[in-house]
Amino acid sequence: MTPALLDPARAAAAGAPHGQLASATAGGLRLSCHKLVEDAARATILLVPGLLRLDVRPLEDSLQVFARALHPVPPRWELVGGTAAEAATDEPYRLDWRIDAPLDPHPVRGRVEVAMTVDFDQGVAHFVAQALLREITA
Amino acid sequence: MRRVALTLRADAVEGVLDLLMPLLPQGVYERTLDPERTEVAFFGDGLPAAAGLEALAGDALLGRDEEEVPDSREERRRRAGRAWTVAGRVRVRSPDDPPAPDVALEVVIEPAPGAFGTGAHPTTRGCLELLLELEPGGGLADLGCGSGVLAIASARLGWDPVYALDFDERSVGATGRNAERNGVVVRAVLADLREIPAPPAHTLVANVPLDIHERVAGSLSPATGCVIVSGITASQEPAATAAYGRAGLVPQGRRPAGGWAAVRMGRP
Repeated sequence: MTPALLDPARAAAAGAPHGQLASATAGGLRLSCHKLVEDAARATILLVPGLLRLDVRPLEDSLQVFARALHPVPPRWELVGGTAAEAATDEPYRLDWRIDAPLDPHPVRGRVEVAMTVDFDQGVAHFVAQALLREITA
Repeated sequence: MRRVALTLRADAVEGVLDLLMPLLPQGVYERTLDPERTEVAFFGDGLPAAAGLEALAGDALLGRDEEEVPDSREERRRRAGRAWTVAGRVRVRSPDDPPAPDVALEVVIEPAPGAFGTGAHPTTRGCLELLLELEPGGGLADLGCGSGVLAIASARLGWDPVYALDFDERSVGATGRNAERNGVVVRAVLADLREIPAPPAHTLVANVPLDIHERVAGSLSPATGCVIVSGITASQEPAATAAYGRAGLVPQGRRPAGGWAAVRMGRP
């Protein structure tokens, strides 16, 4: 079951409307997406069919992130880094998660990174998202 | 431009979005109508047909509206849902969100480009939670007022007079308009706290960067007995509390959230 979840062709097809790229990497799946999202809109920036969807909602002064589980065994998300707290700087707002999906027979683990740059006056935010997911067989 | 708004059972929204989001890469606008109903709206000229949308929503669908609207970001922003309840007592909402009869105090904020403060940010919420722990009374100054959420909530809660300071002209204008909208008196002032000391109010609410806290603490009036300190990260909290500590204040309450800090400092 797990290999199909990390099938790059499936992820590429599902993510195509969102501009998501999906490719194979050793034992896993690599995703990349960028998108302009208008203020207060909730939009998808990463999609792995059957496993997870990552939606974002920028507001003037904050960012809501929705990590939606698409599998009966939901992945665990742990925020491990980023510059989210440096609100006073002009640098992109960054979030970096470690994710762990305890699937049978092999768990899937990986990293997800999101960077957001906001143009307050235009009411729009630019997102860049990347993910690297691997099946853990050892 | 066509706008479609689906009214959905609140408990079924995420399941409907699983089917809807792949069709709507530009995104959707969610708005809580009441605890049982959520509106999910989207805009565009190439949207899926109504029958298809109804089929996707299934028995979660309670209603559907369609209309032609101007094709502008401002229109979509205006119609987006913005309502946040803090500590079950204060609700911050946009003028386009419906009132909630079961919440004691509402603050209505018209979002303004460039003016921080929709009420959604953890620091704003932390400040509000700490304010709600205090017995209102006397003067209060909101430092870095943004759109005026904290100043207006303070005035509604009973502080008087209330001042609101910001170095950004748009924020000062937004605070003045929002205060009027809420029927309270807030004296909104354009001021750069890098250049002037904070007003000698008994209570300060400072949702500002660390360097501003250090300046405020360094010139704190003896008349100030309480400062709600936020706009800082958890890692910056020790430096901020130390600065106010040198002015004779001690921590009396904390509301950390999402890597951000909000601390109430007071005279021992």
